[in-house]
Amino acid sequence: MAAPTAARPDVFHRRALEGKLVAALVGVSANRLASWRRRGLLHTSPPNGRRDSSRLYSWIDYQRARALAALLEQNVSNRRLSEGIAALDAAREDWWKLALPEFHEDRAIPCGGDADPTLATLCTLHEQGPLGRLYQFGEHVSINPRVQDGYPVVRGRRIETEMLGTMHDWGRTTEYLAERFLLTPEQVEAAIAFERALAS
Amino acid sequence: MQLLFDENMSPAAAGIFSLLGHPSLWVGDLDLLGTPDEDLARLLADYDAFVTFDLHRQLRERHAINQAIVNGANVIRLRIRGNEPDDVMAQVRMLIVPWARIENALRNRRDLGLLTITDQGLRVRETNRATVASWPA
Repeated sequence: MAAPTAARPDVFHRRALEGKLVAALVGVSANRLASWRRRGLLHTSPPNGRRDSSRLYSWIDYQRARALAALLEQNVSNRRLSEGIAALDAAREDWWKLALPEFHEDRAIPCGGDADPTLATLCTLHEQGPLGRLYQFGEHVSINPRVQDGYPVVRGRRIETEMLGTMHDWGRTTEYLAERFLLTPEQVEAAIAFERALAS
Repeated sequence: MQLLFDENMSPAAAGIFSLLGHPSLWVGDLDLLGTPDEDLARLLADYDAFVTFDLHRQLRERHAINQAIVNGANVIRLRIRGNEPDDVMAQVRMLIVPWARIENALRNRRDLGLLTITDQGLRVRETNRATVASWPA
């Protein structure tokens, strides 16, 4: 018999992504994320049952964090970041969808050398796609908020890169993991390299 | 009784489990590798239980799968630690060791909820639907 439950947020608003993953993909420190959180630029929740300072982020807040980092790179001052986000919202209400796999692969927006920080930020999100600063792993690794809550997986599969990385750390060989999960050695090697890049 | 094995389980384990008299399908047999969470969660209603695999990560639970449990699906989760085997026979063994208890629970009350099997099949923990429903969305 089904248990009663309250309405749940959609995949874009659901806070499922761990802070350390978001920090690694955005390329900022956990302290930087925390400072944005304290300023109300990001919204997070503590994980179930945890009392430490770790936080979970939604897909939208992951994209907001990426946008904040991109705005800083566009020489928008730290004080004016909230205005930068407001400008993004004004430019395109659902701008946080630009990094979704279907938008990213569609290449709908032509980018290049735009001096406007809002457009340049949108282009950065779009061009890098869902993997953020680790976009170079896109051939074998993907992130989609609709698959495994948005955690990195082997492209086209539901096999998490974290699982492969952890099992490799436990001593499983690339060949074993490829056979065990019906992957190619290249997919396993890319997943392990991606996990290393996340941790670096 | 029919089981559906997640894509992180071995298809050979599903085959062996079928040969042992417990009809089982692997997600890949249905051409559903990489399928979105919500689509997979909807599929679970057609099976007596969904068998999945993960590592010892207490923090992270899967929202769509949890929602499917809340809506009536039964999920059997095999969990291993680093020093434990996870090959085909280890997966089958983790299911076979507590199978009498699992089968009895599934036959007598289909509202099993979430069953977590650890310690190579020697430890089984039941989590009922109400508890899963209480976890944060």
